[in-house]
Amino acid sequence: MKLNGKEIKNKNIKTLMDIIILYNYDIKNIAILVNDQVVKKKQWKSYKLSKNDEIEIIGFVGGG
Amino acid sequence: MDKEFQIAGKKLKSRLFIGTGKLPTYKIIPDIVKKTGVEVLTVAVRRINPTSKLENIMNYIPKDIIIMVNTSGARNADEAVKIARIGSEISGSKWIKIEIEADTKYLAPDNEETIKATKKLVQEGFLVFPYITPDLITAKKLEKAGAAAVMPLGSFIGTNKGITCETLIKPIIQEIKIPVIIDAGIGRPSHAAKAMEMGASAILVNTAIAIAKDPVKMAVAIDMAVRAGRIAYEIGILAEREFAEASSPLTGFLKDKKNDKRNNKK
Repeated sequence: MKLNGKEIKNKNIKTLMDIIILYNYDIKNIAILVNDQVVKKKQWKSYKLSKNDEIEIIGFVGGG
Repeated sequence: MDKEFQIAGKKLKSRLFIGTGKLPTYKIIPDIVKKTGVEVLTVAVRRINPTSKLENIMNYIPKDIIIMVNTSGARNADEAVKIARIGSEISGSKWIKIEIEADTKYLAPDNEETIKATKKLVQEGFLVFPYITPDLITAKKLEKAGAAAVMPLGSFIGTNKGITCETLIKPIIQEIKIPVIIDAGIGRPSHAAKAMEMGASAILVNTAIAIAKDPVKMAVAIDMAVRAGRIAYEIGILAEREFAEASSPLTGFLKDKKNDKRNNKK
C-alpha cells in the first residue's frame, strides 16, 4: 500500500488507526483519504486496509 | 470604533483577515491575534508526511478564531471542491476561500472555474469566499451563485504593489450587495488604508505581515491603517480639487495689491 505516495510495507498495519499510531500522527487535525475518498474519523479504527490501497494523510499548513 | 459588521451571518469587529503562509514560525500567531483583534485566519491544506518536523499550525490558532480554508494549489473547480471538503473535515469550518490558479507566473485566479466551484460549494452548504481577478460581471455571477463575499485582488499575490486594480474594484464595491474583501497585493499600511477608504468591507493580508522583519508589529501597523481607512470612509472622503483653497484666512491688512505679483494670469 501507499502512504502519501510512498510504498509502505508492514504486516502490523491492518486499519487506518494502525497507521496513525505507527507513524505517530496527531489525530486531532488530520483528514484521511483512502483511494481518493475521505474516510470519516469515527471509521478509522474499523477501516480495514488492503494491499493496493492508497492512503493520503492531510492537514493544515500556513497559507494565504 | 469597533462597530460590528456581518459577513456570512457572523458578526465581526475586525476588518482585517490574515493569511498564515510564509510566517517565520507559527508561535507568533497568538501574539498577532492578541495585538490586532483579528478574528479570521486562513490556512492551506497539504499532505502531512510522518517524518515532517513541521509544527502543527492548529496548536497555535486560538479556539475562537474563524478558520478560512484556502484551496490554493487547486487548478480547477473539481480540485477546489475536493480541497474544500477535506479542509472542512479537518477544521469543522465551513468558511472556504476559493483560490484556483491555472497560471504559475502571476498566480492569476481562474474566474470561470471559480464560479463553477462556488456554485457547487454553496449547494453543499459552504460559506464561499472566492478570490478573483477584479471583474464586475464575475462578481455579479458569484453574488447570484450565493457567495458569502467576493475577494478581488488588489494586485497579484506577493507583489506588494497595493491597489493597482482600483478602477476595476470600485464598480464591484458599488454594484454588488455582498461584502467585498480586497485580497492580495497589499504590501504596506497605506495600501490597507486605501482599500478601506475605497469602501472595501475588509482586507486579507498575508505576505506583507508574514515576511516583515517583525510580523507582529507589521500586523499592528496594518490593523491601525484598516481602522483609520474605515473611519474615514464612514465619515465620507472629500473630493479632490484642481486648485488651492486656503485653509488659513488670507487677512486683509496687507493692502497694497499693486505689489502683489503672484496673480496667476491664465
